[in-house]
Amino acid sequence: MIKKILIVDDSALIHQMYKMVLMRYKCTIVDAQNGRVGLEKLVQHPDIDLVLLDINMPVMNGLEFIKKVKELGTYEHIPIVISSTEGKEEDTKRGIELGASGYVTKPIQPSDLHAVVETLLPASRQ
Amino acid sequence: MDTMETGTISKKVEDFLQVFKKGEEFTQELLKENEKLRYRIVQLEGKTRFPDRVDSAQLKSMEERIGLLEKENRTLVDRYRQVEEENTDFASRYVEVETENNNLANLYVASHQLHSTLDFNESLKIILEIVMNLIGAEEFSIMMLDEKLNELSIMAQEGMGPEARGSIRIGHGIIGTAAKSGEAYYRKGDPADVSDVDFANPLVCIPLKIKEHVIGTIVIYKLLVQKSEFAAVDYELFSMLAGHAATALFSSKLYSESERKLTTIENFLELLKQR
Repeated sequence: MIKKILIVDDSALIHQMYKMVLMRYKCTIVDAQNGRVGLEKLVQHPDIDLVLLDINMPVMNGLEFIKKVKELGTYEHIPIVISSTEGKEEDTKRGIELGASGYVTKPIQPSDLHAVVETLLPASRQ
Repeated sequence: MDTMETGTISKKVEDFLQVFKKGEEFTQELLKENEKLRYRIVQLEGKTRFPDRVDSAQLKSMEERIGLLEKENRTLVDRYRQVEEENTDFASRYVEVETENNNLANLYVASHQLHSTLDFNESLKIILEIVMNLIGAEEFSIMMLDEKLNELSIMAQEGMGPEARGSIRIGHGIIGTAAKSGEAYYRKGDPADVSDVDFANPLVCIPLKIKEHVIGTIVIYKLLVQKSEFAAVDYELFSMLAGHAATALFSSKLYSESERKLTTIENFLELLKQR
């Protein structure tokens, strides 16, 4: 079954990089430029299998997005992987406390991303 | 008396002869039986010796078979070792190819993004994102050359303090020299140690060049905490940025200027039409 991954990041560069790295999983990518759009996309695509989430974004940041997802309840089973440009440990810690399943630090190493994706989506490797 | 004695004797002789004859016959029978038994012994001995000969032939055949199997076993062990070595070699080559693939992906994404717009400010933003997200810099700036003033001034920056408004004359200091010569500058030593780094003494200075013409520089002062050293792909990215970022900025600047001129001309023509 083809997996669906939601990328929530305000950087077009990061979106493209994720797509290049995730190409091998033959998954469908859903794009969102901030947390609010991310929530809308979650409602539109309830079959999303994984969320790759930036912490620092305009409109609604990554931490707020996780809080909202947990409040809604419907999507709290979806694993969320956070990424932070500044590498601030407190952001990562807060994200994990709020319910994120894993994290990657920027600059993102494709090998780190593969490790997280393959752990959280065990059946994803084609 | 003599006649009686003679008869008795002759009877005894006859009896003796008969006993002797029977003894002879018995002896003959015994000899025959003995002969038969000897023959039988010879036969049995032959039979008991024959299986020994079969076993030794089988043994020889089995020994040959064992020899062949041992040889085959040695060949298989050698082949297994070869395959294991090949496997290790393939695994290490896979890692190399994977790394190369990741590096190429980064370079592709960076160059694709650089040429995805003709908006000058967006081009600057993309360069900032590449330096921040792909290289992993925390404090850095993009300086553009003002050819009239012959100095570099900061057009965009990330994480810098008040010095972000500074400018540097061409040929002066590390940045000015790099811009003049067109040669990239990499400070020697540990990139994580920024104790001697300041506005005029950066970690890295990359001149942005179109052919040999320098239009600006990318100057890095500090890397992200988790970035302890530059990888091979970082130097590839620097090299790519030196050329592609320069053309992206130059073409977007030209496009913005031409758009502005076009608007002015259109407004002017509109005015003429109204008269």
